[in-house]
Amino acid sequence: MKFSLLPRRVLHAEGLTGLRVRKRILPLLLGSLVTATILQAQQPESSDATVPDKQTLQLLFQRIGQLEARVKQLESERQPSAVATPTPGPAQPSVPPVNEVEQQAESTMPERMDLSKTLLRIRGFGDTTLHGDTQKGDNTAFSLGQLDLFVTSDISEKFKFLSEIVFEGGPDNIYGVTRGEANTFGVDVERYLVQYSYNDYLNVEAGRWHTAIGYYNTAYHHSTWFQTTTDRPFLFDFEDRGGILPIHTVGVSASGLIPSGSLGLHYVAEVGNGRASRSPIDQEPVQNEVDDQSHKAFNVAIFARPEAIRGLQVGFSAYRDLLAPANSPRIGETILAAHVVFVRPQFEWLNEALAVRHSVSGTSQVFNTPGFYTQISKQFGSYRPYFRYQYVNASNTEPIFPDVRLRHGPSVGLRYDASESVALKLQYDYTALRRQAAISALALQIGFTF
Amino acid sequence: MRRQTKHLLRRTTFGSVPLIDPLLVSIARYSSTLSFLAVLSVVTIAGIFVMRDVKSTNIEAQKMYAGSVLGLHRIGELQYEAQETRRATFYALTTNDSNLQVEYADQSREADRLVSEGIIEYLRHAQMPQEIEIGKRLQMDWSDFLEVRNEVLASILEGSTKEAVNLDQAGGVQSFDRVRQDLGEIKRLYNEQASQRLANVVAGSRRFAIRLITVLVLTLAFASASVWAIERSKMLAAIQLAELQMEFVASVSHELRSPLAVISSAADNIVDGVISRKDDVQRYVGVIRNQSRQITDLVNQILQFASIQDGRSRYVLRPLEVSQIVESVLGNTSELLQGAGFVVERQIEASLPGILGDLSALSQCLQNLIVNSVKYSGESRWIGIRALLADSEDRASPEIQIKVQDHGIGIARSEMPHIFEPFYRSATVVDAQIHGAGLGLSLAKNIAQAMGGKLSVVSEVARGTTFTLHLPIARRQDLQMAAGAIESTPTIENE
Amino acid sequence: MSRWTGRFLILTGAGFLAVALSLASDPPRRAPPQPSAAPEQNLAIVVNLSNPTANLSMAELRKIFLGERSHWPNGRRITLVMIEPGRPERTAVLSLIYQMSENDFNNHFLHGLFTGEVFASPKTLATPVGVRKFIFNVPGAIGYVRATDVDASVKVIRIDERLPDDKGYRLHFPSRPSN
Repeated sequence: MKFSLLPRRVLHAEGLTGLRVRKRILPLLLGSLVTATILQAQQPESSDATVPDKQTLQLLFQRIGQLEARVKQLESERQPSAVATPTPGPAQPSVPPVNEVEQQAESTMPERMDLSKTLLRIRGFGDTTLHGDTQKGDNTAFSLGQLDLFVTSDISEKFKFLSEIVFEGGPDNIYGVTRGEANTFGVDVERYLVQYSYNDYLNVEAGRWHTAIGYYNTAYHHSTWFQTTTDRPFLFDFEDRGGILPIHTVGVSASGLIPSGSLGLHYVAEVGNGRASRSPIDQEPVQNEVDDQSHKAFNVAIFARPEAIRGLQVGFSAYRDLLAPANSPRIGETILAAHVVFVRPQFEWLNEALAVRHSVSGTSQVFNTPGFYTQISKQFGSYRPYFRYQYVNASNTEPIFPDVRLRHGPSVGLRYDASESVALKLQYDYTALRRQAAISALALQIGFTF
Repeated sequence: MRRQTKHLLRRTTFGSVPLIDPLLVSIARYSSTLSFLAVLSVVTIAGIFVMRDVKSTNIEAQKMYAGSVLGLHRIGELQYEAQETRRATFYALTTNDSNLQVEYADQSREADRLVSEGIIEYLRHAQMPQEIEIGKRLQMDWSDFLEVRNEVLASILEGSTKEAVNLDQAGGVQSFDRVRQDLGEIKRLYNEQASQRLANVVAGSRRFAIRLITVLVLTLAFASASVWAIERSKMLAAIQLAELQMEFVASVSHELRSPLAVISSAADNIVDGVISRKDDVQRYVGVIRNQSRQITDLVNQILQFASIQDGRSRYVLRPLEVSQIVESVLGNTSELLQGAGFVVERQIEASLPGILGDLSALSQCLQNLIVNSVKYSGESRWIGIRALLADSEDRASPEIQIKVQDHGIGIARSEMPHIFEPFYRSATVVDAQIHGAGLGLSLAKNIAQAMGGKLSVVSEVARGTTFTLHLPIARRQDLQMAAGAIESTPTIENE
Repeated sequence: MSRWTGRFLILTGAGFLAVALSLASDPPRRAPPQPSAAPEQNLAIVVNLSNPTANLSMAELRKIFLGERSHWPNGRRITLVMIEPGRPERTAVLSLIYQMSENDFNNHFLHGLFTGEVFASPKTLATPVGVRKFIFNVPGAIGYVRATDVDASVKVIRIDERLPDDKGYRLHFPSRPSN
């Protein structure tokens, strides 16, 4: 072994060692660099990139707002189809309109209900009659009765609107034609009032209504379907049919309970225009718009419905007005009425009596016209036979209704409820008159509601 | 020459690194374990940091989801149900059928129940004062709206449509608008929180990445340094080995050159007729013979060392007496001792038990110790040989100890770990120009270990050195086996 | 005595006789039913939870159901809630409170609306659940359900100081046929 080779071997070994070192370190270096690069790449965005993230969030929120607005729009478009679904009877209120919404849902105004929505209900009544009598000049004929549209609307919890619009024909066979005279409706608005109900003790009405004289006038209106008989008693016939009472009043009425325990007392207090003097008869007797004088008519009534006897009502009313017939002195009109009625679903017995007192101003002339009727009926299944007797005796010189005179007589009839809404009635009337031949009449009527 | 070589070697490496090179050499022995532990520590520490960052980022992301994302979802649902509450009320207006109206009223109430529950849930989760304030305001406004809504529903169901419309216009619209504004405010709050949390997550991720990169770079640097250190330590070890080998060669060369020079000179003189007298010739022949023996001994040592390294040593184990060994050794070294004028003091305990060993090997071992004592005796001319039975530090049974003691120059404490290394010669000895190949003690130790014993040393500079050969006592069955199997010649291969 | 007075007296007497006969022939007012221990046979009159009314006499209850009362003492409008025709609860109410047939009931309210005496017609719901929900939503509502169908959303009022579970409670109806 030569000495000179030894250092070279060592040098070679050193060279080999250095090479090994480089070979081993380099892969480590490369691997670390690659790892660092990968880590850097996986690192979330730098601070500059948080701004785009915020923007992205903002855009997302805006998009959510747009989608919410679109959903709202679609829902509102769908609502009219729900309103279009037909329902029987009353008209349906439409869907309240939805306001347009902005892109950002937060700034959208809340939807508002539509002011124009109401809850209107219309109910109709009508009848057709075949009648004939023995009075000279009258022919047996079919007559269209009043077509009565009963309209109500619940304005609010306390207020309600009620009206009866009646299409009626006159003796000239014409329907719905304006007669061209003052206070005349071809179409009659028989009732037209707004009711305010504060509580059970105070209800106020304003408009045109049936005067609270007696029982029949407030219990039965312009629908023959409701009443048992084919027609109203003489006493309570409508003014334009020759009735002697102020059936309608235009004014203000208050009514309600009187605290009386089981006695069930009620009161009515009314003030209104009163009626025109009724002479001549073809003028509109109800003063709807114009009063022929400033004096108002007053009416007070009180009646009891005792709990002990279910169905019994006993009442009294007093009416006072001042009439001003043409070419005549004024006539004070006082109407006193009393009633005792017993009404149950299967039985009724109505008894009313009244006295109409006319006193001519400036004279001592007083004209008293008494009248009464009694009506009784009982339900037997769908059949309801009835009997009525009525009486009115007016003086021949009665200044307001001289044509009434004495009338009295029975009526007997049978009502048959063909369905819940249709009633057939057959009635015979015998009316005795003063110094005239009695009139017998027969009527067959079909009354209905719709 | 050797120093120049060493110096040259060191200059040709990566540059001499004082302090670090000795450290590297010393840690070269445990380089792999140390490197593994170091990398493991770094990776563990890095992993802890990474896990901590990942965990905190995960928690932040969860907070963001639970707090902001879910919160926005809840507010969206609240807004929808609030609209449903109002919508169902409107729908009740579109029909007169009480059954349908009741159904719509039910829908409205169900929706408002969900909103009320949602508001309570929101207040339950609200922590910041601003959140609580908005939540309470929303609760109050919602309650106000519900009061109006209840009245509106009652009016619709009673049939008072106008009344219902008026109520809604008077109070419902404004109160619902307030509710809507409150919900919008809460949404904006959630939005801000989400943005803040997102920023936190981004910052956390960035920190995590930086840390990870730093750790990886550090790990790479450390690994590189470790690899460099390992390779350098290996290189230094190789250099050191080469240096030792060079030293051995140089020493052997020097050891061979001296007697060869003497032999050559004596032969030249004889051949040239410089000396003619018979006495002188005999003297010169004697010198030639002695030098030849010295060379032979050196070569034998080298060969013996080589055979040990190659694993080709064969020892014949026989039962031996200690006195037998001592006599053999003294016989082999008598000429040397007499020639150097040494006095050998023998103390061999009586009735020492026998041992199992190779007589020639053991003789060689003790001979090397005695030769060293002669070489490093300094001014002293005394050697002591003592054989005794003593307790063993390593075994439960006692052992035979043969001590070779001198009063020579001694061995420095710093040299002690190296004296049994092959080719090792201390600087002091080299400077004193004491001959030797540096193999004697290495051989002696190998032989002692091959015999099942060991070689120990106690020394003090300028006071002397005592080498002790520790040999196990032969067991009876080993002796019987050895006696019965002498023909088969059990051998021990040098490990 | 004049002829007409005599005729009037005869007719009046006949009328009273007819009334007496009518009262005699009317379906006998049901005797107060024997107290039943089975609550499922009792009809409970229920009102809104906010309604302060706790007790009504039978007569007052009838007036309310006939529409003769339009407001509660606290001023709230009375809204009558009926269940739809065909249900046993409605049949029982028509029999026990109204003492009318279905037709008579319809005519009564139609007539009442027509004359203005009845301010609002009753609301009709299809099921007891619907009745309860309606009453729950409307402060002035009053209706009826089986005692077993009552829940916490409505308030049961006493009739003649009696609750449906009490002895002497008058609003019973036949129990359901077993299937």
